[in-house]
Amino acid sequence: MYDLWQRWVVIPLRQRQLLLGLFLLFDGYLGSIHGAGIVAWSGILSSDLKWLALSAEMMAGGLVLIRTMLSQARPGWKMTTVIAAPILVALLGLMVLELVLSGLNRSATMNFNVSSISLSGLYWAAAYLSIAIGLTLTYKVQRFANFAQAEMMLFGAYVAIILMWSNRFFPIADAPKDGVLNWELLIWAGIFAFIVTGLVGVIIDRLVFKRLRGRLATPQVMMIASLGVAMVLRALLFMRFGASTFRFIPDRDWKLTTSRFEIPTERLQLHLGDRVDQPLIEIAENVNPYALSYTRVSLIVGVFGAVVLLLIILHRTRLGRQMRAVADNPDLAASSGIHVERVHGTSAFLSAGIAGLGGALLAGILPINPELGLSLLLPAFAVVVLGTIGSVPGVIVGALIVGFLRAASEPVLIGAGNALDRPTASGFAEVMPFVFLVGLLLLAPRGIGDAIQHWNIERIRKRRLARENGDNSPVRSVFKLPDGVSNVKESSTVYISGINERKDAAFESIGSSISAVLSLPRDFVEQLVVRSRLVGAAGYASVSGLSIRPGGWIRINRETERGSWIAFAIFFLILVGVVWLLPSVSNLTKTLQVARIITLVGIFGLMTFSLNLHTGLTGMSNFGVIFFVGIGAVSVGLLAAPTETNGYGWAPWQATIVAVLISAVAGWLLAYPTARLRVEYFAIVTISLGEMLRISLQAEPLLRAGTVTSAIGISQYARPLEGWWDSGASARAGSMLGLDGPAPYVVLLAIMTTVAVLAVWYLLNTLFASPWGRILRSIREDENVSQHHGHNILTHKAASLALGAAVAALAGALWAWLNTSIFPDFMNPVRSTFLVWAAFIVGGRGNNRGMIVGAFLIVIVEFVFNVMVVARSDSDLAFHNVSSYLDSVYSWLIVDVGGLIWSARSISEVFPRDEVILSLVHLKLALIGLVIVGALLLSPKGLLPEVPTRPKRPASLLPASSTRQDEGESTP
Amino acid sequence: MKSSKLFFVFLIAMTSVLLVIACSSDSDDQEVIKIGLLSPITGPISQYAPGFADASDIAIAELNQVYGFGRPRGGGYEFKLITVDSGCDGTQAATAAQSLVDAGVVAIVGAACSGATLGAIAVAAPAGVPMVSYASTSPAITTADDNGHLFRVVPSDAQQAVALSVVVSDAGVSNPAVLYMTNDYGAGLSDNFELNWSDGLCTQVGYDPTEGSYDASTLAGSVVDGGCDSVVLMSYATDGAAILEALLAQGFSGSVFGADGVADATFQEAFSDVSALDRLVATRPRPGTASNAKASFESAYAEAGGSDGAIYTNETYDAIKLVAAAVVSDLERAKGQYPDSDLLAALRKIGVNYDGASGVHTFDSAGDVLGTGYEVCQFAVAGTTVNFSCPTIWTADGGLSDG
Repeated sequence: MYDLWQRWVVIPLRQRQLLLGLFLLFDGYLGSIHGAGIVAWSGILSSDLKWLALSAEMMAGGLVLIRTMLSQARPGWKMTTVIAAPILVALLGLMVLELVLSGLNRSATMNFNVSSISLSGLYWAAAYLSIAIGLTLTYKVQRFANFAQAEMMLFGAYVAIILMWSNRFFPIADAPKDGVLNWELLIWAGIFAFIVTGLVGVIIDRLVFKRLRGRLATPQVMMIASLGVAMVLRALLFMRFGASTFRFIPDRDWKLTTSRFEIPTERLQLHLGDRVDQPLIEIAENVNPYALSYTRVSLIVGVFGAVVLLLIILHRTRLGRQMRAVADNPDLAASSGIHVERVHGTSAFLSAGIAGLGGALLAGILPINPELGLSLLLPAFAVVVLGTIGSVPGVIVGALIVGFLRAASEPVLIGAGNALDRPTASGFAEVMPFVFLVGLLLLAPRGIGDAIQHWNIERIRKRRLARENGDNSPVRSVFKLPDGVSNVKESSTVYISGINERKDAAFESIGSSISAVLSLPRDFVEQLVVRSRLVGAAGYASVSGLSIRPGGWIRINRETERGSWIAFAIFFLILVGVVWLLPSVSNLTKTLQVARIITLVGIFGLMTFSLNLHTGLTGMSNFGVIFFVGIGAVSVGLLAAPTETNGYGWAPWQATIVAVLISAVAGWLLAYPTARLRVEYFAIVTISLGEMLRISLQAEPLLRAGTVTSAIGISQYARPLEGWWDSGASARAGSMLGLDGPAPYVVLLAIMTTVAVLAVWYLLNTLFASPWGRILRSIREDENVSQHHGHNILTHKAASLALGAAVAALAGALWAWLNTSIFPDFMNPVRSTFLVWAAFIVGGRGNNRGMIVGAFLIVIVEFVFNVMVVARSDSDLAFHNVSSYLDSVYSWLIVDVGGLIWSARSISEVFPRDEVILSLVHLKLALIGLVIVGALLLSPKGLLPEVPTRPKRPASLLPASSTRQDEGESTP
Repeated sequence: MKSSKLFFVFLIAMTSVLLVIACSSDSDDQEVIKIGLLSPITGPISQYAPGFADASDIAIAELNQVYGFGRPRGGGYEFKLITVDSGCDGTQAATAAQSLVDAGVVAIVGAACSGATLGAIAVAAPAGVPMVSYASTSPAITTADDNGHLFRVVPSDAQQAVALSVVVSDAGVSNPAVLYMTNDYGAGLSDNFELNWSDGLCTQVGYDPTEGSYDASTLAGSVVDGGCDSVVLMSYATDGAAILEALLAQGFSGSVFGADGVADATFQEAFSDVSALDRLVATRPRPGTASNAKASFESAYAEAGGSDGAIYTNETYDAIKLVAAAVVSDLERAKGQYPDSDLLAALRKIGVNYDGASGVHTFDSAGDVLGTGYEVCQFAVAGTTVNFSCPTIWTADGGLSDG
């Protein structure tokens, strides 16, 4: 066996990959057609799981083959390979489908309506592009991912709707159908939406992001701040316009059945699988023409027109040159006389403005509600990454690809889904952009914009070569690369000429700015100091403290070990005090409340621990916390659900151990294809994985358990120690807590969570302080230097991912037990990943104490503001007067102040009963957003910043240790 | 230095606001009955929350008129509704339910999303607070570990699917396409329809009804390209209207069927071109024959300017009135022993042949309701006027008959 392995290892890497890919393909083929091969012989899997495993096997084999083939391509063919990759992957997918269907003796019919696919593709492309263009512009100039972009789009939509309701324009919107299209309202709405939204973008930039820039905040901090801004904006829109949907109607004639172009079309029918007498492809007859409504045309034309204008501004005007200069190097731009802040303002205006224009036009097609933006934001991120972050031409190509892919995948999914008893499969169309993106990043890790850039550079170089007629041997030699150099390295070696360096710097600097800012010398950044009296007097001191002289304060430097602990204790005790003060009616409900808070803080604490390990320590921006949590929760639920309701009937403890292991393995495996990706690419891959799992929970029947009819969701699973607890322990606990009856299960859960958190905390702190923790920090600070020191970056990243994934899975298991059921909505990133990120940034990255404080704050804020919401309905409470006062202020704002801007109709449409009420639930959302933004503005490094550690060395070991090296680390 | 202090001040200020609230909450009045409402104010189905709020406001106003102070019948109860955000998510709903329990509600009405309901019952059941859901259709609700505390006034999808399949086959079509939402309502209805449908289905397509997540023209295209002779639509109002308009635009001329998500006269308001609505046939739970609860609620809803395109408003109204009736009967029975009363038994007692706006409700042992059949409604469009009528009914025993 060992011999065989030795022989396998000496085969060159390429050939090994080739053999592996061919083997997987062949084995999968045997399995699906002839019922032979590894999967069939092992006998572990049956029916659905079997063909799923076989198709996964074949896909993996095919991808390995394609990857090997593409990486062999000459650098000059870069563009060709990037174009070929998606086509090859699509063909591979169809081939796998054909084999699986043939094996199952089923057939699938897919209808590709040519016009429908191309025009729907354009529509999706325009919708995504309206958000994506702003994202990429912010990324290019300001260098952070602006989550508020989707809300900007909505803002534009509501500007259009306000304009529609205005006294001047409402007659047009409300005019009876007369068959004559009126353009006036549409055009004014577009212009107003662009300008007003743009101005709002500038104001937000001035208020929030400018200050953060001034404090040299990292892009991650800016990003989380934009998350807070997005929450505030969404809440404001909710408060003003309510949750009902509204449509923008430029004139009723726009929606007539005749207001559409009839586009002639052809329909291709693709028959896959067990064809009896049908051809593979046929062209169907008697196809109705495709109807393209005018409103869709206006969206497509408007968005693409605006983007073309933007391109012209960027490349043909002085302003564009300034913007690109700032994007390249802000310091250099400033020293050459460019007003950097003004350029930032312009870019904020343009990115918000285009989003607003897109929103106004989209409101003519979709009913608008403040929640809408989210479903377009994540695909827009995929578009931005696909087109290489920061590249405007790239993002246009990316939007077109994603749009067409989205439209073309629907017939495939519908056809295949019906053949494989999965009619819900078309739900996966939503995540096809992510699937495609992940696949493409694995094949071409640098995105499309990079390929376009390469192609351009090659073209310019060739032209120059032709002009010079020289032999140019140095340049030529670049093309001959030694064997064994990986794909990534090849492409980076080509970067030699002068043009390259400048452009390269622009893109690389975005990626490296995260680590660069993180690694700023610590004494350069202002040391933050908490001043307070001792814990007991803390409240009094800070309220009246403004007038007390500094001498009366104890200075706590939170960046020392001791100071950090003291600050942690203060924050923790304040939060505990808040919990203690939360009102409740009885002893039982207070017990429930406290136990629930402890459990939630524990779960969120474990999630932030996991994020801290991945992002705070190792420097990988993991946006897929919920992916690993989901793996944990779903595995625990599925495995522990009774067999008669589609579960597996395991004991909870076994299920937990397996869930944690599955998640750890998933984390480990994820490292290999993704660890070489740039920070942002890694972020989008992980967020995509979370979305894929969420949609799978909706659409995949195998991920359902708990009911006999396999309804959506997982429930009825066993929870640990439930029997023991109910058979007496709960009664004892109840009497200990002074309750009348037995203590509820959540008390036990709180105890288990506390134990889990303390254990994981201890474990992680030990690891952070160990040599391995230092290696991870060095990877975060500078990967290349760390590699030069002989550390195998890949293995360390994989280990870090696996460990963090295991911790997250544990959190998922606890979460599943707390909720007693798992539904797809629990994986909504807004309520999980984004909150965890907020806790991570606010708490202080790199510091586990900060993680606990951050998680505690995020959990408690929800409870505290709920108290306010509840108090509103109750006139007995003192707060009731406050809320009626708020109502009158709000009414004054909307009716008297706002009335100067908008018409009375716009108020009566939203508040039909003529009483303007402030929705406290939405105020709560705004306040949570403000807490995030406020905490970041006041303390960008978090409440408890990372404590710089320097391991103590025993004096006796000093001379010897300097030559010691970490064992087992070597670069391959 | 300054910044940290500011944040500190902020935290302290928050704490002291809370202190004020906490200290002032002791003055509980015996006559005040607090009912909690879990509503999906944010999250994927937030657009339906205004409808739930409007319906519950009507219910509370009526209750206070009937049982309020100085009335001869009641003896003076004041009902208060505390609405919190379930976020359509188990965790947030459970936290919201905890806040309701902490505020001392006697019962909780909600939640809408099944995941939220199951999350909230994990808090409400141990606290001894019963919950009546008005929109959770998942079968998982039936089997939830709720200690008898969880009820719902929406009927199971299984029965409506039977009714719908009878209606579709009665119309003489053989090759229907099923378009359905991939949430528990749509998926449950579609699964059960498939079980009850004897012939083959032309195609079956699920979609996510969140705006911006589906493309109505592609869905319509899959029906037209598949050569289907009819469509069964399991949708809510907004997405249903978009799909019907897209079907018309692509020249689809077959019959169209729908379920209670669209079976209402107000459905036409979701259209920009009502001609797409012509000949739609849709089923919905049959209202009680003895009373006019449905008509009176719907006229009150329209009068109050209730939100358009709303769903499950009748159920919301019923859930609140049912809970209130149970609470009052419980209080009347055991005056003075309020905390030791048995609200669950009262709910079961009231929940027998309860004649509500959304049909006649009788709780079974699992807290589910058995309806009294479905009515079959149809839309007929002439020009711009829409005629809506429900001439036929379907019952489990009698099948289709004229109503």
